[in-house]
Amino acid sequence: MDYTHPQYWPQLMQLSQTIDGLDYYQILNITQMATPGEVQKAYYGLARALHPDKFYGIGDDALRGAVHKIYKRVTESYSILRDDQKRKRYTQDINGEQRNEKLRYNEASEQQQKQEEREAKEVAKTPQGKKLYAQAQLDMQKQNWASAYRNVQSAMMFEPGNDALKALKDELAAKKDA
Amino acid sequence: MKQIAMGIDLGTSNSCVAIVEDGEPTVLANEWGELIHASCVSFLEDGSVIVGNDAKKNIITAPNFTVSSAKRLIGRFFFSEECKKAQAVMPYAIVEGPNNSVRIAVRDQIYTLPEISAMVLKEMRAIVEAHVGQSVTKAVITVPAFFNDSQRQETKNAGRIAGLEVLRILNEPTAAALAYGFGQNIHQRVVIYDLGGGTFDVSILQIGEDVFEVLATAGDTYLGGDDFDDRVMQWLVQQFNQQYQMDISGDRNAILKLKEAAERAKIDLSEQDSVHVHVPMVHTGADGYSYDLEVDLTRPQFNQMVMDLVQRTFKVCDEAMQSARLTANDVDGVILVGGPTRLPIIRNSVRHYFQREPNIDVDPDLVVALGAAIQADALLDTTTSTFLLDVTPQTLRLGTVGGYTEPIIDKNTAIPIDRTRTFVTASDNQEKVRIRVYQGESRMAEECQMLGEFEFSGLRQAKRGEVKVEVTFEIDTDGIVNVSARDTETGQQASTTITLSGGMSDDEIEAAAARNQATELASSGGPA
Repeated sequence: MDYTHPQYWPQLMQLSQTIDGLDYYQILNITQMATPGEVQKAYYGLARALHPDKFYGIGDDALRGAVHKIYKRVTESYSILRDDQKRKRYTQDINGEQRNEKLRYNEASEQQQKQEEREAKEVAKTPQGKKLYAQAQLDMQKQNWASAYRNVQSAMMFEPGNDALKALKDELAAKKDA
Repeated sequence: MKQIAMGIDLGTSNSCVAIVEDGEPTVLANEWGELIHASCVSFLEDGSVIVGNDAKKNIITAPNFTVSSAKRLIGRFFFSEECKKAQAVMPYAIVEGPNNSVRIAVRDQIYTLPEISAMVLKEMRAIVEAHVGQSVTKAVITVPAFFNDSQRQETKNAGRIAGLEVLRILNEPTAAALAYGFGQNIHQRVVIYDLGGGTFDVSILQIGEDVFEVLATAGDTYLGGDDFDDRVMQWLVQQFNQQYQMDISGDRNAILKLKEAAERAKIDLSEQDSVHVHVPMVHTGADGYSYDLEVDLTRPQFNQMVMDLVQRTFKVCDEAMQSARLTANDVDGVILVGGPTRLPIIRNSVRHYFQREPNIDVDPDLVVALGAAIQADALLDTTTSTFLLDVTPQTLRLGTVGGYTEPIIDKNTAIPIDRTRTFVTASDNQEKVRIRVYQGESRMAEECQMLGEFEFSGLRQAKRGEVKVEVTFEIDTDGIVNVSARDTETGQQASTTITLSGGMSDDEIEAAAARNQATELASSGGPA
């Protein structure tokens, strides 16, 4: 669809008004189960349709303002949903009771996520274990399950009785073999 | 009349201009057939200016009236390291302007940095207009990806002063990627290693058909080919001092001559294994005699001198790769941009780091202007066929009490984007809220660059805590920061004033534009 065509302008004007009521998944038009690849694909699709550059030559300031507003929400949606940790926090938020206040990832969400990250770092107790666990976290961000599994396994050599690590190891074992 | 928009690579050392003609991006030559023009502005006695390679010759003959490497100072504060360094080495007068800004004093006139850059832009525009035979005002101007808000804003101001409508401030590495990807349906992850005259950038892009997504960018705006020249120049000074047992480090004219020789030696070492440097009449001794410098410089010697600079570029690469969560194995191609990437030491190091042969299909001196022309052309109509999804290079921060800052928009976030913060009045009948905005990666305000202090006034009169001000921080497609505020209850916009910023006001820009227009571009007779 070529949204630069005037027949779509009323629709864009309206979307810029109602976009505040949409969550990031709705903005990108994907389900909450979407894979990282699907998130990126949706973002590219909307960039092709709504990038402000496409509307640069259109003389209607109000329309360009509306497109700019919509597109900024598109990049915002992508920047949160592409980040595993932020996405996890956000998804919990919008499925919770305070959905309406949490449609945009805000300071409060960020604080909460930082706190969770700190707690996560305390999963391992020994210096070597912490280091390996941190490495595993990075692997998980890259979806390199095999390497994450190896790092957690190594961490457990220093902390054989750590139940949290054991649970993670099992989880990763399933993922790497999937 | 045909719509034309130009793409300008406004470099630290050299500039270049291109347009799309018959569907092909083309770099335009000036009347002497030169494609690359020194970013040098020489102010003549009659009030006219020379820009380009002729102006560069005047660095030796009219050092006080010839401004070079102005880009190093654009958007900087007078107290910055870069400014102090420039004052030490540049023969022209660098003086302090209002709000700690930097000004250039030449022939009884005071110029802002954007005004100097505007002279270079005026010359680029003249080259285009001479070629197409009509007035052209639309332009895309490129900047280093790592440029902060102040540097981008000032570059845009330079465009306005030169009478240009700046369609976009475009990142140099992104422009280069565009020039490579143009018309090809490639699907890959590409690293752009961009070593310019005064800045270094690395950007990692994911190119999917018509979409160019920047995954991460990192840079050093204090590192470029100039620094390589400086190393050679310092060595030449040392050689001279040793040969004649004299100290010429205080002789500015001698330094300028040796700097010129250093640059030539560096360029020659890209082709040859060793060069013979001969600089006649470097210095006149106390005995009244003029002394020449003659010395041989080998490539291994040169490599030794610049090794740490080369290593610094790879620290920046590490940073970008980490931000993009990639390793060298995930990369499908490496593109070299900027004249200094011709140096064998750079090519070899890049090959070693990325474990692959770097791509040099497009001339590293022209590729940025070509990409800028493609983007300029694409912005002229709605049939745009490529989409640039760029990021902000540095974290946008808000100043808090005690000299600290907190992040608002993280580096490498896709733009355009905005975020809001809510502030509550702290006293009864508070009339204004004042915030300071920074860019950088440190929690300490003093280690970041301050962009400005924003004051929102005309707040509703009420008891403390009753008025909530919602402040929106926006980064637009140019990477420029806009800050606005409104009362959350009434929706009323607060009036915003920016203070403590070195930037130019609209009135100043208008006055400067009039002065720019009145200044004639002189031509001194072509290349030697």
